[in-house]
Amino acid sequence: MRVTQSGFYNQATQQMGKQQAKVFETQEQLSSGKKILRPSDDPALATALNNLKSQIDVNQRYLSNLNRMEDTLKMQETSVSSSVDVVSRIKELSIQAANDTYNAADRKSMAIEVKELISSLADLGNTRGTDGAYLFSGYSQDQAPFLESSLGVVTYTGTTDYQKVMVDEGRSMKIGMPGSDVFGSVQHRNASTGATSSLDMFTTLGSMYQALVANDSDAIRDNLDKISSVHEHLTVQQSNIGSRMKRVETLTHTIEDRDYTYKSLQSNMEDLDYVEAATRFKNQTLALQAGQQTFAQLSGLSLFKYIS
Amino acid sequence: MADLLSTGISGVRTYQRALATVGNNIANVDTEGYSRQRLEITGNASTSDGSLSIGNGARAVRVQRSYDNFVVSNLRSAQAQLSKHESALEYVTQLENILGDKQLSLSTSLNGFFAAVQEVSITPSSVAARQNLLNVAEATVSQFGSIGMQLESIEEDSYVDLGAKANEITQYAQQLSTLNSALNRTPSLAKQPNELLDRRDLLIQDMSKLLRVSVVEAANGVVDVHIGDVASGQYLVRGNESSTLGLQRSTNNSDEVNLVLDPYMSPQTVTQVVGGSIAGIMEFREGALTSLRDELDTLTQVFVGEVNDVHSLGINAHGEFGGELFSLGNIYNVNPGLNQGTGFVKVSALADESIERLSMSLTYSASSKEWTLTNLSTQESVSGNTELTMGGIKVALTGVPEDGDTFTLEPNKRPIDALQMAVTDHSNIAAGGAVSVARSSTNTSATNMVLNGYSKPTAPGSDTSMDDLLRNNIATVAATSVGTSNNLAFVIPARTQDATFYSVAENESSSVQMQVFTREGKQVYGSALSTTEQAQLMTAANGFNTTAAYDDTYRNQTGSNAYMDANTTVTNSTAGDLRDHFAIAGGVNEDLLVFVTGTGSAQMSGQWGEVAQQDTREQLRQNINVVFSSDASSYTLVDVATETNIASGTLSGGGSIQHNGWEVSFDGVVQANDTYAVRGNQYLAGDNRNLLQIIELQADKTIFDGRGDFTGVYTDIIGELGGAAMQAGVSRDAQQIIVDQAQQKRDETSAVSLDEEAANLLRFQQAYQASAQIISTANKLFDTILGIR
Repeated sequence: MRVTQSGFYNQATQQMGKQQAKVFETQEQLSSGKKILRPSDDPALATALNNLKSQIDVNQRYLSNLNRMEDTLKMQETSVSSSVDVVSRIKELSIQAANDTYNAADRKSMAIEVKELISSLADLGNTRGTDGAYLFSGYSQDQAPFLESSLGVVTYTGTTDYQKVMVDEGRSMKIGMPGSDVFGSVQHRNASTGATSSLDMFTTLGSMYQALVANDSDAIRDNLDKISSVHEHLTVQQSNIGSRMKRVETLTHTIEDRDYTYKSLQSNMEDLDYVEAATRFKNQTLALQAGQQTFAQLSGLSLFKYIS
Repeated sequence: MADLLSTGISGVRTYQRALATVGNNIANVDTEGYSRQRLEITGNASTSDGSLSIGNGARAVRVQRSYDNFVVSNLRSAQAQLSKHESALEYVTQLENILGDKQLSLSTSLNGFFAAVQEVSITPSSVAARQNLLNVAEATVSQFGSIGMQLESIEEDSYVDLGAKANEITQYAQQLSTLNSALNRTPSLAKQPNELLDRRDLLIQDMSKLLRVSVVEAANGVVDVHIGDVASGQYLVRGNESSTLGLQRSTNNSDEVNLVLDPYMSPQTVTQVVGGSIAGIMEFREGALTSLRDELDTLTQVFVGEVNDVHSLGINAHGEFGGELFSLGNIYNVNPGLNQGTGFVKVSALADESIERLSMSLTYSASSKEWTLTNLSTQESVSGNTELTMGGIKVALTGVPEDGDTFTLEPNKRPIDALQMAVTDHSNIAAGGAVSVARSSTNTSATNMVLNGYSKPTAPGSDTSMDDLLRNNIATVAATSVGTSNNLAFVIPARTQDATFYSVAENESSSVQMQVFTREGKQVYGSALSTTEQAQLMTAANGFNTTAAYDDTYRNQTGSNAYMDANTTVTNSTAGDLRDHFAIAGGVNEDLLVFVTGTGSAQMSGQWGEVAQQDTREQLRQNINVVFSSDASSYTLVDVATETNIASGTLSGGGSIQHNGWEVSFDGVVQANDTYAVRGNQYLAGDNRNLLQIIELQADKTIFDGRGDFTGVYTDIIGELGGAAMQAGVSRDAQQIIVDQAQQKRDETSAVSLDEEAANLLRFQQAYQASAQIISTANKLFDTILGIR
């Protein structure tokens, strides 16, 4: 094989160039800490990583939704538990009033208190969230759901819808509680006849108020049953919220776990093995140095040096 | 006698030249394309001296160029391939850099958009959240536009690059043709100056780095250079003529570029563009670049189409149906010809078909009252008079055109560049659902009605049978006894205003009756039918729905008793007036089916006004009650406003009810007389149902025909690009090795080795000195002879 000047130089520069490129690539990897720097380094891995990153983003959003839900549920819980207290008091008064030892005047003062309690119940129904939206009005969140007339009759003007929010892929959860369900229809079972019927909460409470005003003992006793159902209904609503909060908590944990899994997976796929890379870097630098030194030595060899 | 002196002189002269050649080699050790030269020395003819034959020294015959044609052409074709791969790799890497950049990732941007929608869905009435959604959407639009712009600039850069390279080849060709005329002065190859030949080879090599060429060498070294194979018949250089190479954009698709010979005089497309950087760049443009841009365009179109479809069925803060959230503007340039009429053309993208970027022309013909849209490259056409579709776009035609009016349609912006926001006011975000359902508080059961979903109601009223039959307002319609098929005379399209019809028996022996029905079987006008007649008339072939059931309640009723409280006129034939007369002042929102029953034929005449325009979507908001019968076996759909029974049917176990584009089902068993409401919505501050539907698009894998969701499709595109780049890199590296080997071979054959030349220097120096010594000796001999006294 005839070795010529240009042949020698071409070959040497090509080899050194290739080696240098390898060294620089390893150096890039070392300084970025990532195994692949661009999709062409490993297209399949790049695709999988991109998909994973997207999943992580989407997951984060659901976590944030769940946090907001938790806040809203807490506010709902507060209002409903206060309502339970209010109705407890009404029930207490009703039981007292059912006793015939009370006269019209006593019942009248009880009636006044009951009227106040009904008003405060309506106010609780009109609770607003942090952004000003009414919590218990279904979809008409910009209007107060419970209107109290001058005669103390409370009517519901909201809608019957449950607002939903996405909490996971393809899964939504009810975040809202329409006043028509919470402070609206109550299932009642008549103790004596066993018949079930549907009552309206405020109408029932209003009837008790009327009965007290009218000093009608029979009516008071009749309504006592119903007031119990109302009270029970509210405690059930309260525990509903409780179980929903529990569900939110569980979901939050699930999603947080998932987030952790995704992130570890991402790290495994994407992060550089420093030990391997550092060793590789050493080897490649060594090869490059060897190439450079041998080139320097060889290029100094020439017959012309020996011909004077 | 052999002349010692001349022998010596011949030696000196020869070795002088030999040394000059060696010197030339050494001086040219780094000259590109230089082939090592060797002096060929031969002995002079000997002279005979009696029986002896004595040689006469040496002479130089010629300077031999160390050159192997095979090696050189091998190197040339290897290099053409390498240049091709290098150019392609260079551009694909640029693409990769743009799209691989994490900041510019479209999937992050799209996820951000959906996250902003989620934010609004939690507090739909919050102005801040709505405004944030608009801002994020704007950012998404910019992202798309930014990528589109970068891809566009790569396209332009590659075009400019191609132009520059075409110019370069043209210059090389010119230089080569000049060289050819210099070479032509010498008739034989052996006598050609070596550096001309070297320069010739270097020019051809440079040319083949740009475009693969094949070379035909004449006997004296003059070359013809053909583009591609010799068989292609297209030449760059022929003798002392050279061609010019240029670029032309193909008119039909402005991104397609052709290499042409002689672009300014008689352009001829180059057929064989293989090898060389020009081929590499063109392959990149037609391959990786085009497919990437097309895929991103499809992604954009689908995103816009799907989001808009959902958004347009939602209710915004004004209580109206939402418009488009995003739009694609300026996707086509519409240029009118010298038109006499006032026709107006509007182009928009179809939601579910990729835009093919075809050049088209549109012409109006007064004789057929139709517009014709023609694809300029294939001459395929479609015709119609309100809306035409071709190649992924929809052309809407309005105005009053004249015969022969034309428009040309040229593709303008790609979807990714044309993307823009269509909503700027946060109150126009359609967050709410259009339909809601409720159950009556007086129901016996606790079963709820569930809204499964709704879609855009189908537009009614495109039936033209009324026009066709009663075109001149009078027709004869044969009455066929109920029982044969095709009894349907014609359909009165929904919302036809002020329709009025008369029918009368054609002659004495005919006895006819006009009958008018809705598609659900409610009879609006006519005579009572027996059950057999009902079964025979009310078939799907006659236009009745599968759920149709005969209902007599509204037959011949007027005023508030009429169907949908329509303002009807119903007159049957009497002794005084033998005509049947049916008319509606105003219109109804449904098609009406008209039959003629009896024997013989009827003469019918009719008149009607325009079809009133109404947004098809408003049908969704028709308030309807679903009322179950007293044994809960069947239901009736009742229009709430007019208390009209529109339709009825039965629920097969777990079944659903569809009407007006919505579908409902029940989460339990319904009891007798249960009533449910389907209500159109107005604006409700907390209604986020349409937003939830938009959010569901994020994970929807069906919108891309099962390829995956938005992120999946986008990462696929990136993966494909990465794969292409990797492939190009591998090809380039492999080819580099081949070129290195070919280069080495050429160096072995033709390059200068300084050690070898140094040895030659010594050798010829000694030979020169020895020859000089011969002269000296000859001189001494002569002196000796001269010295004889």
